[in-house]
Amino acid sequence: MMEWMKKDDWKWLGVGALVLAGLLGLAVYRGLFRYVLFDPAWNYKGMAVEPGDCSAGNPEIVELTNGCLMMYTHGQTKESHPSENNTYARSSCDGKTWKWEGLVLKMASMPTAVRLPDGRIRLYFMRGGEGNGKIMNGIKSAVSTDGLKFVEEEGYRFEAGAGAPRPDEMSKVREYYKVEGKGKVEDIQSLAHLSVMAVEGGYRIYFDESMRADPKKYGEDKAWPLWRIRSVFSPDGLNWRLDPGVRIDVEQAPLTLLQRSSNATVVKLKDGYHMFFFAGFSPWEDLTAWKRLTWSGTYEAVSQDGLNFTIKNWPRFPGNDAAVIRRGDKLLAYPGRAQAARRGCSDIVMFERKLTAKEK
Amino acid sequence: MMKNKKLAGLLSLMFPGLGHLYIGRYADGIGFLLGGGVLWGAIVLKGSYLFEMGGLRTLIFWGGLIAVYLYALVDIVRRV
Repeated sequence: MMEWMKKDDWKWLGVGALVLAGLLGLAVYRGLFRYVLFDPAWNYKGMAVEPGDCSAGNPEIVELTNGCLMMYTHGQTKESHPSENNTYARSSCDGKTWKWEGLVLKMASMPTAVRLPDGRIRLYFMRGGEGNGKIMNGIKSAVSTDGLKFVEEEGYRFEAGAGAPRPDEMSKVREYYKVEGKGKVEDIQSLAHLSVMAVEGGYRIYFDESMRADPKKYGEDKAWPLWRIRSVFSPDGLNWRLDPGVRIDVEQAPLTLLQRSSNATVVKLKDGYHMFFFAGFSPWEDLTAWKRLTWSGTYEAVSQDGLNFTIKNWPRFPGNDAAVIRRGDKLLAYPGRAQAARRGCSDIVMFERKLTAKEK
Repeated sequence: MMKNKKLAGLLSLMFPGLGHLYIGRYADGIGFLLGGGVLWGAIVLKGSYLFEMGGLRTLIFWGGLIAVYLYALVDIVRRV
């Protein structure tokens, strides 16, 4: 071709190269190349829940005694007051079609549920209260025989030691700190995104500890929040103690550029505990172009004891706040996807992958 | 003026319609540019949805994009 190229031809080639470079630049800027990195074993199965309101945040799923599933989410419906954060339920027997069951608990956020040996469902949730000028931040619980009508249990199951500052005092959010040794309950200022599972000898709840990024590094107005994953353990589901250390820390290798590790959900398979969690940026950081060169999404980490996890290198599938369950020889994942029409609200999509031989 | 067939094809692969503009078929070129522009606009603006959605919609979208590129390429090779 080159020997036939005339002066005018080179100009046209330059135009073509510019157009192509522009398109590739746009694709990089929009982070589209990330999608080729997601695990192809996970197949997108379509929209699972499209509520038309803000009631589908933070899904968690429990299997009932009849084999059907109950999904708990938090948020608001069009009828509820905007300040409310309620727990809602949807049921499904095939994992694909979800039936709206309605309000389960008022003023109850971050729900997560586990089936007890007697078949009842215990729901853990967050509910704040004010004390000593701070917002108390703790896990409460309720039990139900059908997964819909819950009776609240007295008191808090676990309380964050420091108490969250009031919403107008964000500058008082604790900055990131290293957990020394076992760690102290009183160091934890606020917790969120609960996920409970039955483990050998009891139950474990994975939760997010939120902290503030270094304001000198990011600026006073942008230095919040950071998230990392920690856990509490209980032999009876009622009395909980802090597990030592951190499950997934901020900027833990290989996610050294990602400030947020959150929304863990753990599935026990034959080869160990598989944690699925979101890793990415605080919303304000996602606006920074260079950050798009790193890979936000739902990651997987594996552990033999449920405490010490090794993170796999690449994100498994897109989305945030995923609930992941085992169903037969498959894993089903239900991450949230931001609604275009309502800021801060999510739909829930579905991904599915077959278990490998060593996982079965 | 004699046009370079390989360059016309290469330009078409870079973006449908560029090859047609190069050989002076401006109406065809603008048509392909508009078609390719709409599809690329959808990728850039709604890329995450296009990559995630499965089934028939994915097939239609990505099949459509490939069809526009291939049609532009075949057309340019026939005309030069």
